[in-house]
Amino acid sequence: MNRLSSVLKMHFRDKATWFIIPYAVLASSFLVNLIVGYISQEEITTGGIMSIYVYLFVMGITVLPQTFNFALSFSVRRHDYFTGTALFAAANSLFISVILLVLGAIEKATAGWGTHLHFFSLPYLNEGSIIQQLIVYFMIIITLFFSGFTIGSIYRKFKGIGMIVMAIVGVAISTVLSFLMTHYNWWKYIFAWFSDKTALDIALWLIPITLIYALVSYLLLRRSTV
Amino acid sequence: MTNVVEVKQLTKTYGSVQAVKGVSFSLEPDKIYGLLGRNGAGKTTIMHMLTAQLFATSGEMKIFGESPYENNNVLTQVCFIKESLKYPDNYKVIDVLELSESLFPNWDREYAYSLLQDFQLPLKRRIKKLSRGMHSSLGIIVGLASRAPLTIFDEPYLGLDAVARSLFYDRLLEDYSENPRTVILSTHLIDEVSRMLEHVIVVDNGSIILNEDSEELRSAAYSIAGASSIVEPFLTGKKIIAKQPFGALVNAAVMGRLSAEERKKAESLGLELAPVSLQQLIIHLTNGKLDAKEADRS
Repeated sequence: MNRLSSVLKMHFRDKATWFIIPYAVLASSFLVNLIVGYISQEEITTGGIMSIYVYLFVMGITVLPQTFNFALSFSVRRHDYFTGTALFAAANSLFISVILLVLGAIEKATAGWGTHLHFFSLPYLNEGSIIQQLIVYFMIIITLFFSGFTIGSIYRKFKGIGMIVMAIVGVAISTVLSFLMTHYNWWKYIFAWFSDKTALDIALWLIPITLIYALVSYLLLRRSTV
Repeated sequence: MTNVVEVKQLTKTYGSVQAVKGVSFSLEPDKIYGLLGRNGAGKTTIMHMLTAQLFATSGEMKIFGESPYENNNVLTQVCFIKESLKYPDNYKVIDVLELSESLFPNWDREYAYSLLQDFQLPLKRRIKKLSRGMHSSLGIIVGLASRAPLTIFDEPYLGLDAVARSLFYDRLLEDYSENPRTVILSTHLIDEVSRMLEHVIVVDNGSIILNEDSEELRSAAYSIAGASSIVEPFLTGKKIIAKQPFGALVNAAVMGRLSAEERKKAESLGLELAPVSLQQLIIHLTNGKLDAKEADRS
């Protein structure tokens, strides 16, 4: 338990990575959209919120080279490292989700920051109750973080060769799959499946995916060396 | 008391390369050990395996009586400071100290801050902005203040000047006498540390070629100098590990002990006797090993 709190502390002390840069990225994207909104005076719906999602995906990749060797060198178990990092990432994802939700509410209340800008509050994604919206945000963020974290773990365990193999296998599988789907005309079923799902439905489907990412990265890190 | 470290037939192979070849040794509690050897001899690999940061290919290993892998009973008692230690990019000196305090149960905060002053390390500076020597000092401070029952320093002083190095040796000895613990000091600056080491393990080419108490070791050889016409007959039948002629003079290092009688005889012949320094002895021993191998090959 004590070691776990040390790992949380290790991440917490890296203020720039967790508490400054993600919001700076989001703010700069928002500012650009806001300026465009003022100039154009049109109703704008933008995907600028993607910027923070992409940042969290990248962070999932970079958190390992930043802290894994360091933690191991400072006598932290791999198990504690993983658990602490996963917990911290979850707490951080929740924190960001709440902030996005609040900003979305402000956006609605101010009629799009006085310029009809839809930045935080988007159609489809921001439907349903507050809790439902929170789940959608949270699952998007944590899934992206753990997909990055899994990539980072593959690199930790297998180094450069692992990345090449992963890329080749990834491309091969997606090529074969998309060929099969085109050949057997499965695309329409897939689109049909998605089309009657709400954002919340899809967010719930992300839970098993994230759990698989977490399990894979845990197993890889258990066998990783400095 | 049980041994702090117990290693049997520890082996590490990378593909076809054997970095560590069936190494066995044990370390007793509250002693300062020197793990010596040339660069690439396998010292760092051994220490990485002791701390479960690398996995052994085969062999047995017990630290404080248990396997170190994923074992907090062991890991909380170990502090391993290595030359290549990398910190998170945004970390400041203070972040490392605060984190160390929560990771090492015996951490002495006051002592850490006094060391910080000794080594003149700025508390608020980002580690990326530290000079190479300051970077090394930070590792040394963590290693000393952790007071871990097994503290390992692997070439901890890259970029440190002689003053800072001797400061490190002084602080280590002072603190060691007040808070005894097992220290492994891995280095190639043998002469500088030889006065501190109580036991020496020399690794060469992945194998241990020497595992000896330093007192024993110092008395295991002597050097003798004088006119070659007098020295040569004196040397017959003795195990010479090195011989350097200077014109008509010769300086030889000889394994073994001199009897009182021989000592008297040497003095009466006007020969100069001196102890062989640890560094010299180890260089002799490692070279001898290498020469033997060359001979095997041809």
